[in-house]
Amino acid sequence: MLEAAHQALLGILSWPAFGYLLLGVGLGVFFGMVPGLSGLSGMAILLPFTFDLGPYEAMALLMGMYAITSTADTISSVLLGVPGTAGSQATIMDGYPLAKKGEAARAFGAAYTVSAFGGVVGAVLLVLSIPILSPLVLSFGAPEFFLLGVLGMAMVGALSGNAPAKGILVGLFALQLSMMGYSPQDGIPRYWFNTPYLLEGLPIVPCVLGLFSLPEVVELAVRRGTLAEVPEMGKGMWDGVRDALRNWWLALRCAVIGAYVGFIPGLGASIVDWVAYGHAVQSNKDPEAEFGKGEIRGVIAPESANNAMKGGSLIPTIAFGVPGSATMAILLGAFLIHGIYPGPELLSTRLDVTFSVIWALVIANIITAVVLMGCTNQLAKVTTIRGSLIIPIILVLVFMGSWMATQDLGDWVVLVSAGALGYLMKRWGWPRPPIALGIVLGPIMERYLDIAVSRYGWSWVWQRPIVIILILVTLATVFYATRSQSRQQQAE
Amino acid sequence: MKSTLHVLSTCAVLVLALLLATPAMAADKPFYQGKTLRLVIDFSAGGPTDIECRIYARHLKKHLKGDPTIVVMSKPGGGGTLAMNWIYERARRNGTVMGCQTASGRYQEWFVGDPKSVGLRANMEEIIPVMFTPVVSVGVVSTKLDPPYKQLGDLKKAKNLTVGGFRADSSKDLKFRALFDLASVKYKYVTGYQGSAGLLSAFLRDEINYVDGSTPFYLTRVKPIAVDKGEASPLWYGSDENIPAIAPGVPARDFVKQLSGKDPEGPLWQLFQILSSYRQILAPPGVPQAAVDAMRTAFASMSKDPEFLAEYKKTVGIEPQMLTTPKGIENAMKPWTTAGDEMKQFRLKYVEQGRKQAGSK
Repeated sequence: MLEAAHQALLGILSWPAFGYLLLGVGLGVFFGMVPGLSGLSGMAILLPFTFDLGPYEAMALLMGMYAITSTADTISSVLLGVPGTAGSQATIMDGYPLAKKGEAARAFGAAYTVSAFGGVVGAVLLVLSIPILSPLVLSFGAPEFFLLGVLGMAMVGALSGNAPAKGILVGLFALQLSMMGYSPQDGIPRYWFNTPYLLEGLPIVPCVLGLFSLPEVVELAVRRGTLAEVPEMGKGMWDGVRDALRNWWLALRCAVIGAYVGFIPGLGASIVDWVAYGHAVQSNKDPEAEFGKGEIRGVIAPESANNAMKGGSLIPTIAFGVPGSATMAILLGAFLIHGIYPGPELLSTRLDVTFSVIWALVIANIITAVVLMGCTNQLAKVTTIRGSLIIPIILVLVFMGSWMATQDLGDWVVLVSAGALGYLMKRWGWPRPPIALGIVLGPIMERYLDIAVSRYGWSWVWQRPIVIILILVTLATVFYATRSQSRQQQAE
Repeated sequence: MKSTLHVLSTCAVLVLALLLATPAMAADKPFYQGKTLRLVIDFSAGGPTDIECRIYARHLKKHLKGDPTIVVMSKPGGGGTLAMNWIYERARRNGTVMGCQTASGRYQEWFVGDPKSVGLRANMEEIIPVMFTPVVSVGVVSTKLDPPYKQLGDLKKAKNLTVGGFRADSSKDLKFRALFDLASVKYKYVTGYQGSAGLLSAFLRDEINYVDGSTPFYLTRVKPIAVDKGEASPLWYGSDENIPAIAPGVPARDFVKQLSGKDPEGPLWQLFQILSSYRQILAPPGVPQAAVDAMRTAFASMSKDPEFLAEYKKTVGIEPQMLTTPKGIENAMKPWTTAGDEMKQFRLKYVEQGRKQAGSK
């Protein structure tokens, strides 16, 4: 194993593989920063260019790009309130308020530090998991997936600030919205209003951009100022780095959460940041922390988790050729094109290729963090540009990002409708994150509940140990959230 | 005066010659010269349709006369319906936009289904089929059945055969159900899995013990992970020709014959044939015949290109059997076009039966 790791490291650091890694990193910054583009678009575009490369070069290019989109996506999340990719939806909750307080550089400093940290932790967990990959992945069946969805929904309480009842109502409404389109088992279309666009349900990207970004644009336009609401720039990048180091334990916990959410096929990018954010809120013991209003831990948690997720998501792809997402499906295509079959081969005779992927992940994360930190102060100056100049740019990015979902006019209809809903919810103090969570988790819960009942009847509820553990964790999450809410209310 | 007349008559002759020559020269000019051809894919990036269409796109430039620019565009959604409606209703009808799709489901919906119920507005009889390549399905069973599976006959003895599918109304589910029902094999039907990755994952953790998919799915994923380790065995494949790479699996017809003792026939077998799947190049109605001809010629030439064949085989696992003549395509479409209303009612009933069997209704 050590020999394979050494051989892979030499392979990745040799020329031209290292050049391809740097090229991948450069492209990853672009794909991560521009809303609507993502690691998936990057993979789809780059794949044909890898046909004529050797395996190390191909992995360096693809992984260099893929590994760091969730580092670069912080830029638009913090500066513009527009999530760069699905993995940084939760970052805007506190990243954007920090930018408004003139502390964008601090948010970047913390985010880049924990992104690199999370990326490395994800890769290390991937290495440590190699001997136990099989039982680990195969221990999760339909009942466990359903319960993971339920556990995710239990986070609604934590993501609802001081209005848990409103949060639960919004969560239920979102579950109803998630039922648009074909039912997963019967194939009967529901709530589709004779519009084929809705047959596969509401796409998450236009929903999130509408819910979170458009209301901020309206607010910025009404305020007629700069993005930063204060005239002087506040804390800088190094304060952010210190924040990250101070909160290393939170970053580590969220990295582990990220890696293990990543390895479960079907979950991944869309919820990993919310789960980590929810964990940060729930585990917070600092009475002065104000999540949602510019709390640095609200940036640290999702940014550590979404980079660690990348390592985790590689586990089922490498171990079994079971890609957990469309991005991993393309990576699998790259393996196959180079004559590398996932499964036993990648864990034995071609272990060097597996390690080349892991090294590319580690090196790309570290290079990106260092490079982006170098640009932080310049980037932070964007917050001092007049709103009237920046609003058109944000709107172009938001509309372009939505369009990338299915390239149908329906994307814009969903965007604007979600924007109107998001604006009203923000104005009347209703929590918006439960909607994103419900739309993503609803179909997963429905699908796996159907399969679990169809396959096992109801015996899975008491016969499967992981299900019992997940039920207990869910109950503990709800209990803990309710208790901390009532304590908070008593204190107020 | 005479010289002026001479000059004028010479000019007239030259103009006439030019006018006559222009269409002739235009006719010589390849249809796609200086044009951009957009290929619209109906499923998401990274899926089998996308991967195969991108291989076509990469090699098409070399074979399509006139050296056009080829752009690939994904338009996923509605199980392929969004892309088909778009091709029919909004794509330019001048040959610069064509679909690269797995639209067999849309054809089935049109001829033997209920197109309105899935929002299919494209009239599939007006869509121009340019090229079809059959997609060969392979069915695989786990050897850990009770009693353990060793040979085809053991399938009928299995007490715990659990088959997994995508959705009760999907071609995939209807296809394996039809085949097992024809062969009188008893099974538990569980459906609702997301994509072939979801199915493979369930297969590996023994939630289901039968799975099927296209040849690349079998050759590059199921075979190295399960078949080569003796944990699974191929049962059947959707072709009448012998494919040694899928042994000991047998053609679907032989699968039914060996298990039931008779040749497959009747409405279930007809339904099985209707459910054949193809990767297709499709043009919107009204596209100039010159564009269709140019594309067919290009694909015919591509099907002999060793470089293309090598890349296709490397990715898909078998050589492509491209149908580029009107006759060949007509024959492939015959099961759909000749199905009739009775088959439509049969299919709808069979879907309903599957929904009940899956236990969700």
